[in-house]
Amino acid sequence: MIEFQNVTFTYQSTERESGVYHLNLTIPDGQVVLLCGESGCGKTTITRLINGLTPEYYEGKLDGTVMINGNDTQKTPLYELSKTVGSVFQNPRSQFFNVDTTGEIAFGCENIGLLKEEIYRRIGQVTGELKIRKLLDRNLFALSGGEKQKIACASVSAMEPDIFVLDEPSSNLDVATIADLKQVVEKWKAMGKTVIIAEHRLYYLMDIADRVIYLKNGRIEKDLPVSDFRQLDSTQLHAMGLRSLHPADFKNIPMVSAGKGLVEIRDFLFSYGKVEAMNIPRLSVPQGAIVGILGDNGAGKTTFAKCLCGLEKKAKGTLNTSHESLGTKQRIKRCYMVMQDVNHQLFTESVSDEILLGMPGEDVQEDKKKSDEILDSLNLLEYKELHPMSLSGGQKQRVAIGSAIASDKEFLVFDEPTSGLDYHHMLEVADNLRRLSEMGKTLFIITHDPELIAKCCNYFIFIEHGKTAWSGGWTNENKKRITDFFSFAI
Amino acid sequence: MERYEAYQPPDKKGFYLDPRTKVLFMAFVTTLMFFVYENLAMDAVVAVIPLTLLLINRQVRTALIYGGLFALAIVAKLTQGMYVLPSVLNMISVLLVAMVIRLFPIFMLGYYIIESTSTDEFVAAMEKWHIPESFIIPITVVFRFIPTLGEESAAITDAMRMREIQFGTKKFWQNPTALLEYRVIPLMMSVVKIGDELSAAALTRGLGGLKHRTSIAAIGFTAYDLIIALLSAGLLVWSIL
Repeated sequence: MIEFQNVTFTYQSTERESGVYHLNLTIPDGQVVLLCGESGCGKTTITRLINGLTPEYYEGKLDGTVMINGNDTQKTPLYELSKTVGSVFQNPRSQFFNVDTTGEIAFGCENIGLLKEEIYRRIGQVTGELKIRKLLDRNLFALSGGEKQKIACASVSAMEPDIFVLDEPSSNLDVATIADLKQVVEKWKAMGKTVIIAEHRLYYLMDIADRVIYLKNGRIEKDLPVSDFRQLDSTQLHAMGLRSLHPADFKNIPMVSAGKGLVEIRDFLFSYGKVEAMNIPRLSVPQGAIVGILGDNGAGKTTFAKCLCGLEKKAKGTLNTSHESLGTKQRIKRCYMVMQDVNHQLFTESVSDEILLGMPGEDVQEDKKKSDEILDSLNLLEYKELHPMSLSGGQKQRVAIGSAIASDKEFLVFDEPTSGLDYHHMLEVADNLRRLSEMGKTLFIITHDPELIAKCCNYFIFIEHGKTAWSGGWTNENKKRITDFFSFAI
Repeated sequence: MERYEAYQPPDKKGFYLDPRTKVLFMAFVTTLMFFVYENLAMDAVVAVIPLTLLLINRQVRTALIYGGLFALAIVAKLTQGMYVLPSVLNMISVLLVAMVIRLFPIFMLGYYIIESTSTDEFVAAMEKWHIPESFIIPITVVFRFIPTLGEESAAITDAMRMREIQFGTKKFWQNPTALLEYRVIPLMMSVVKIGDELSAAALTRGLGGLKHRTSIAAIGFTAYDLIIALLSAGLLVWSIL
């Protein structure tokens, strides 16, 4: 049983996550609880209070007591607590300590001092339960994000804790792997474990959660059984800043002005060694369109994006507009990718320097004026002197967009621009994308977010095994295909 | 509830060295290269060892590059007296040749060790030596970070190319040192972030109570370790003679 008795916690450092105030909460054994709310509402803080990372690792001031199975977390060392509470985090990249999968699953068991035979038994048991036997004895760096996340779940499960805490576990997963994650949680539920999940994506949890807790500004606003929560309609959920409970219905598609000409992709070919990774003989999209690139993880979406941007030097093929034909080398000057981890592409010491970096640098005054205009259009002008790294995720993304506008890029690729974002932040991204499209830029969006698609995409490329399975606009047939694709998770 | 069969570790086939042998051998080669001068035959023998180990570990590309560099260095060394280079070039050449011949075997051996040893094996081996945990944990983190650094660095290279921040452009000549800054700062940022999340994840999995830690790593000396030991003894005798 988990008990919060009048818990108030504030972070010492300038964490993005907000503190929590006057929480009183009892979670009985075997309950599956969904924590939801806008970014920074304090749901991550609750997960950290349960697994003991606050206040021991993320320091701050804690009043009140958190009791796990009758033990005060403040008086229990993390090492002891880890036997009762297992944690899975958002980023699959940064939660494994070993380089090989088997070692990783064994890691927690070794730390709590189990004998070798017992560890072997448990590895066999959890990999059987989670159906990941074939992932044993592999290099973790060669696995996909979804597979890494399954290994993380297995590693925690092998320690056989009573309580599982998951902090946005689906953020980096695609539709198919979310379905797998759902199965894992179902398994834990069937075993009678207590599961606490902080999430933005709600739909996959609707038939496994027992209870939904909605937080706002560090306080519990609603605490409902899931049957009541499911009665809320989309308008109410959106007003609460939450995502829809259904993947999306694609009924009201806003028309987005697409440009006039066509952009044509010809003979895109790329292979890793002898393995053909991409083969697209011919594909055209309307200029100025917002093109959604869909497909499962590993289908070749990222490879396509990298080839499009000219980042794969050995890729063959051209991108043709009405008046020119761009090879790999020319494309790198005309295309820009806003990466999923936007931290990789911010280089300078201030937001305005970041924008100026991409400008010609001949007329400094003129450049500064133009840079201010760009920043203003992206609502970033007030942050212009700040260090880019001090901004929030969404602001950083806008700075990256700004730098692309500054260097006159015409083709912009976005890699998962809304992963892990709440409803309002997703709308903000959709607005930015539409604005870029109105400026005449052609956008390619790799996404697993049906709501983003419904808000702004007006053309689609569906990639399967490095080939385009289909492409086109919002025809009835495509609408059905997209709905089917996303309904897979339910 | 369903029961599943226990995990069976794959049989270790073929070449395998105990992590302790690797560490000791590395220390031995480093000392040897430090004390032995002007013995090309021995340099060649010492170069062949990491080369063989790299090949056994299927790091073919690295082995080829290293082998090629070593051959070039030997050629440069043997033809040294046949032509006269301007003094600056000569200095650079002598320096490079010495680096390839004397330092690279050590680097390559280190690279082999990192690529061929799993974190778990390494921790188990160090615990057998009773090395304190405050020393073991940072080293294992380094093991874990090397492939991560590679991944992050590749992403940053892509980002830089799209912004045309690269060697030789007009912007580059205006401020050449900025290039280094642009590469290092995002890399540091992501390493710090990953390190932070990694520590949190490791703590929730019970790392920190290392006193009672067990390990599934099967370590132990085999005939291959004996080969390395004999090889070292041979080299030692040769260097003294």
